[in-house]
Amino acid sequence: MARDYDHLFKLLIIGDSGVGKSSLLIRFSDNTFSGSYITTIGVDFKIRTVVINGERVKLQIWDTAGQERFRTITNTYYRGTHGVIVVYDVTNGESFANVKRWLQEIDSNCEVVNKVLVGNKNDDPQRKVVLTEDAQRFAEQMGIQLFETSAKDNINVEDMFLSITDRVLRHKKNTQRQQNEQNDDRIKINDRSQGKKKRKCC
Amino acid sequence: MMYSIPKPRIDQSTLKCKQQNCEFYGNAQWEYYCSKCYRDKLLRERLAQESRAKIVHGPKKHQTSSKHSGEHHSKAPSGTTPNEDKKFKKRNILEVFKKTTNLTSIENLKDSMKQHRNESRVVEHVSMAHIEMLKSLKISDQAKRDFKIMIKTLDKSINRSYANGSPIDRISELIQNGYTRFADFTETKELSFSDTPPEVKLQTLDFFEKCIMTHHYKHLFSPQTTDDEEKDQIIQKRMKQLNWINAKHLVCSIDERNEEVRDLVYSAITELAAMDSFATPQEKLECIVSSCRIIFTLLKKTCDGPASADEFLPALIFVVLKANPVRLHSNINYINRFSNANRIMSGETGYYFTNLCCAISFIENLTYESVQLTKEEFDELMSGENQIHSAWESALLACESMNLISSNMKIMKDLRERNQRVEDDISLLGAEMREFKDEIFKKIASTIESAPLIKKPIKTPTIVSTRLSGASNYHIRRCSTPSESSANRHSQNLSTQQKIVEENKKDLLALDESNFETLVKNISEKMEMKPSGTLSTSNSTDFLSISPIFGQPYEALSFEESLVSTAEEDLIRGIRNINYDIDFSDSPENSLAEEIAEIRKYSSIAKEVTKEGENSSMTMSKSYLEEFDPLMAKDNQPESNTSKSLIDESPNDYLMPDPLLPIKSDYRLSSQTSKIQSISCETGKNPSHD
Repeated sequence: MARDYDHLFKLLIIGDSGVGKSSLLIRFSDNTFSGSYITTIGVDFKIRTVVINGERVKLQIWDTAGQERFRTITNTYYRGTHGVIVVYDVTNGESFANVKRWLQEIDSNCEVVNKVLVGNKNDDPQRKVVLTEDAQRFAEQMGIQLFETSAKDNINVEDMFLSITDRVLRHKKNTQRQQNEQNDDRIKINDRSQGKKKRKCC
Repeated sequence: MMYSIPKPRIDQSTLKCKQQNCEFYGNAQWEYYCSKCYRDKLLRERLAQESRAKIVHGPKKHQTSSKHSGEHHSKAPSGTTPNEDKKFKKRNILEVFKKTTNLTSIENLKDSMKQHRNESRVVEHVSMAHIEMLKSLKISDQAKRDFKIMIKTLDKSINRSYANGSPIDRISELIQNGYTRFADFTETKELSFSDTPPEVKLQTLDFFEKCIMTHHYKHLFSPQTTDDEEKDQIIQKRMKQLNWINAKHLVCSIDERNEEVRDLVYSAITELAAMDSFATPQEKLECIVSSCRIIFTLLKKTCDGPASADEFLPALIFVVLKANPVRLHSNINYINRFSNANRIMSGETGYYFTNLCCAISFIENLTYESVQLTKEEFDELMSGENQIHSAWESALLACESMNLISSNMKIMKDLRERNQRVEDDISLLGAEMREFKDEIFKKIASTIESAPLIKKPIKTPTIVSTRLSGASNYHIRRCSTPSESSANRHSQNLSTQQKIVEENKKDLLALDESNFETLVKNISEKMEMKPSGTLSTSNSTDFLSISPIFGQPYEALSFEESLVSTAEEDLIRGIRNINYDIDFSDSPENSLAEEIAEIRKYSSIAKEVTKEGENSSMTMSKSYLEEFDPLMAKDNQPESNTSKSLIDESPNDYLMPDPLLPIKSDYRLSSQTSKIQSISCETGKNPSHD
C-alpha cells in the first residue's frame, strides 16, 4: 500500500495546567528522530509513527489546555479520540486530586476509550508528594494502568506511549473482529452501492 | 442537445443585464451589461470618440475573448441578431472544449458545460480554473472521465435534494457519502485510479471536494433552513460587547507593546478574517491553520520554552475576539458539514479547527469568572459603563492616528511608571545618604567621647624632649600630618585630623614629665653649645613634609653646620625616617627656591631658639607654634630679626610671608593650635611679652 502507516490513532493528552503535558509530548515526538516519516507540525500538535508487532501506527497526539476555565469547553477535543493520556504532577497533590474529575470528563464525552494514568515529573524523590502506592491503588480502582514518568530525564515516556498505543491497537482489532463476525451489514452495503451503479448506467 | 439548457435557479433579476429590456445576463467584467450590450456600448463610445472611423468589430474575434460568457446568450434568443449570436456561441463553446479538454470526449464536455451553465457567474470562473486544474492533475484520461462522472452524479443528487427542500443535514450526509464513495473508488484497484500515486489521489480527492463545494457554495453556505445567520449575529454582537477583553484578562502571554508581536497578532487576525472570503471548506480551513501557525510563532517569541496548549488556547481566543470574523458560525457549520470528515477529525487542520471551536464556545460561555473579574466589574464592562481602551481596538477601527495615540499613551504610561520608580529610588538613596551621614557623625561623636580632648597644661620642654627621644619622631610626623594635609588637601577628613591630634595629645600626655625635665635640661645645655641644634624646636610642618626630597637639603644644611649634637642626630635621623606619604613633587610650589627659603626660615628659627636657650628657658614658646602661621610669624619678626640677620644675607625673605605657602592650611593650623591649648607656654619666654 502507498500509505506510510497501517493505523492512524488520535491520542489526547489531558491534565491540569503545568503538569508537563507538552513536555511529555515533545519528549516523545522529538527525542527519537529515527525515521524520515516523523514530522513535527506545529508545537503542540505532534505526529509520530511507531511500529508495534510489525504494524506501523501513526500517532497524532493532541495537547489540550488544562486550565480550570477551559474545562467545560474542551469536550470538542474528544471527538474521534482513540486514547486518552491523563497526566498529573507527582510533586503536586492537587493535580492528582483532579485526576478523578478528568476521568469523569472522559466518561461523559466518549463511550469507550483507552486510558492511561501518568504521574509526570518523577525525577526528584525529595519533591515527590504523590506516593506511588497511593497512585497505584487509585489506578487499580479505576481500572487503568499507571506510569510514573519524567519528561525531563526521559524516564518511562516511551514505554507509556507505546503501552497506550498497544492498548488502542488491540482495542481496534477486537472491534474489527466483532464486526467481521456480523458480516450481514457489509454485504448489504455492497449491495446498495452496486444497485446504485446499475441505476447510473441506465 | 446542446441548446436544451435547463433554467438556472439563481435569482434572475439580479443577474440581468443593466440595459433595460435586455433578456441576457450581465457580468461584472462588462460593467453588468451582457456581452452584447457591453459591446454596443463600447462601440458607441468609440464612435463618439472617433467620428470618422467606422470600426466594424470582428465579432468572431471579440467572442473568442469572451468565450465563456457567451453562454448566457445561448439561453434565450433575443436582441437584434439572435441567429448570428447563436452561431457564434456554438463555435465558441466548441473552441473552449478544444482548448481546455482536448483529451476527453466531446460528450463528457458537453455534460460538464451543461453543469457549468447552471452556476453563478463567479462559479463559472472557478469552473474554468477547475478544468485547468483537472488538466494539470496527473491522472489517466479514464480517471478524469470517471472523476467527471462522479462529480456529475453527486452534483445532480445535491441539486435534487435542495430542490426538494431536504434539510441541510441530509445534504451534508449526502456530500460526505459522496466523498467516501469517491475515496473508495480511487482506492479500488481494478479501476482507473489503480496506477495513481497516493499523493495525486489525495490531490484528486481534494479537488473533488473543491469542485463540489464551489458549485454549491451559494446554496449550502448558511442556508435559509438553518439558524446560522442568527447565530452569526449573536456571536458578533457578543464579541463586540467583549471587545474590552485584553491579554491580561485571558492570562495569555501576548505583549501588546511589542511591535513584532503586535504585527503577528494582526496577521493572525487577518488570516482568520479572510476565512469568510473563500468558498470551499478546505480554503477556509487553510486560513484557520495559517492563523494558528502565526499564533504559535508569536508564542514562541513571548514564551521561553515551547508553547503548549495552555498558552495557545488563550492566545487563540484573544485573536478570535479581536478579529471578530464575519459569519463565524456559518463558516464553522459549513466546514463541519461539508468538509471531508477526516480533515476536521484528525491532523493538524483538525487540531486547529477543534481549538477554534473551543475558543468560540469559550467566548459564548464566557463569564466573569473566566476572565478573573468580579461580577460587578464584568457587568460594568459588558454594559459599557466602564471602558477599557486598548491599542488593539483602535487599530482595528482602522484609524491610524487613534492607534498611534493609544500606543503612545501606553508608552507614556510605561514611562511614567519608570519615572516613578526612578524617583522612588532617588528618595531612597537620599534617605540612605542621610542615614549614612548621621551614622558618620555619630561615630565621630562617639570617637571624640571615647577619646576626649583633655586640656592639660603641658610644659613646653615635654614636646621637645619627646621629639628628642627618637620614638616621638613618629608623633611629630603625625602631628604634622594633619596640618600638612590640611594645607594641601582640603578634602582631608576632619575626623582623621581630630583623631590624629587626639592621639598625639594622648601620647604627649602619657610621657613622664619628670623624665622630660632631665632630657630638656640636657638638650638645653647642648643647645647652648650648638645653636644649630635648636633646629629641633622647629616643628614646622612645612619643614618636615614639604617634599620627600626635602630631607636632603636639611641634611646638607646640618652638615654644613658641621656641628651635630647627639640630640640633633637623633632628630635628624627621626626626620629622615619620616615617611613622606604625601608627594607634592609635581606641585608647582615644590620649587627649589621655596625649599631654600624654608631652610633659611628654619635656620632663623633655630637662632631664635638658641637665644631662648641662653635665657635658660627651654620652652617651646607659643610664638613658635604660631610661627607656622605666617601672620604670627610676622608679629614675631622683630625678635627674630637680630638673630636672623646674623645668618641670613637676605632677612627680608623671611619677613615676607611666603607666597607659596598655602594660606588656608596655615589658617587651619592656627585654628587647630588654638584648639590644642595644651601646648601651652607656661615657662616659655614669649617674645611678644618680652
